[in-house]
Amino acid sequence: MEKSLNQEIIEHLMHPKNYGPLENPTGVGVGHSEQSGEFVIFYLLCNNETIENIGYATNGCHDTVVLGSMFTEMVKGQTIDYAAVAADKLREKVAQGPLRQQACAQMVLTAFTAALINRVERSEGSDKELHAIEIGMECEVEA
Amino acid sequence: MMDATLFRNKHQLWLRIAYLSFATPDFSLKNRLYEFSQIEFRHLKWLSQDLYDSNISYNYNRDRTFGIEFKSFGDALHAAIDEIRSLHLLYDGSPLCERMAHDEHFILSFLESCTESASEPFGAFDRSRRWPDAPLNDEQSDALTLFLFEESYKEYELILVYLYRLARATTATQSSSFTDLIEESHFHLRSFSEMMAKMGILALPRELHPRTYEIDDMEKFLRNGIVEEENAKEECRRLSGTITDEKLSSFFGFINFQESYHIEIMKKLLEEKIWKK
Repeated sequence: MEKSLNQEIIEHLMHPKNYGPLENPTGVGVGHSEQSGEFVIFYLLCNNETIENIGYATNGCHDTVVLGSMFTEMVKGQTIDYAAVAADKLREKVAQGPLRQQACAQMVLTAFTAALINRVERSEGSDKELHAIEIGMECEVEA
Repeated sequence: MMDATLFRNKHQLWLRIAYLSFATPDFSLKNRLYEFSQIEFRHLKWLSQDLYDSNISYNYNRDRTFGIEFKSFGDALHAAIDEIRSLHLLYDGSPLCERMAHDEHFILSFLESCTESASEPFGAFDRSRRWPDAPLNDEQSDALTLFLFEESYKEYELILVYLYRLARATTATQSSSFTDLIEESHFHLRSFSEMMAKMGILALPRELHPRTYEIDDMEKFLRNGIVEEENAKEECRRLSGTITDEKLSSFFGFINFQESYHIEIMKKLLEEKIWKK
């Protein structure tokens, strides 16, 4: 993300895209910090290899909200393979930025990965409601 | 009927009237609407207690289409009027519903009396990001913008989490502590939201996920809450240092000091041993 706020970021802050749970998801995943209680949760609705719909929610900071909103816009309607490329792009985009943004991106992408894992678990007959992955970094890593 | 649907509609009506108040530049109208929003919040508090006592589940979800952004005060006013009228179809004959309906008949007549002079456009959503009371450079505007988004969500989250805990309070200390914390957060939410409206970036805080308020480990929740209050203090201090305008800087110093006492209240709550889910 850019250092200064532009109109696009303001829109994501005012109206985060794809925010909230989905009904009858095919995969649900959580990335969370046990230490701080922060979490991101992703809901996927996939048809074969296509992400037909996606939703997310978080109690994290504004960077997490904006990154989640941007990422869901990037991958909605795309294939799971494309989503892996989009995740790499997002990582690259924040890699030069503050540590705090990198931690937020990690939480967003970890939750997405967890949702993909849960999708596979469900397709193999599991009745697990969600897959959770704990992460080490926190949003508040940088003063 | 008192159920989760009624709760959702009351939650939305509280927000509708509160954000109508935040968006309105007219000082006396703003105050009157805010008083009404506080009446709506009290209804919500009583309703949550009744639902909890009757073992009826409820949540903080909102309708997907629910929003607060309108072109004019009149449009927002009409939305509030329509919502109150349809809400009344959900009320039963219980004393609480009778009280709520009675309050809202009065609120409705006030809102209807405002519709004639309500055509002016809102500036609260124009995204200008200019602070009208003092010149701020881009860095200061950005810092203030991010702070307001962050903290307005946190205050909304705290109001609802503490309300959830208040319905489940097991001692007088829990009740009075959560009541105090809710009142403090109302003041902060109002202050920050009115600043957002002045900057043209007023927005509804995002919806709370149940993981935020369905708490298994209260001690851990309180300890995390204390760390969050410390972080909020740090954000206030940082902002106070970035923004050189004396009035704004002193306001954030004032908020910072209030957070310190929240920590004391939360420490007192840490001594509590019996928590209900």
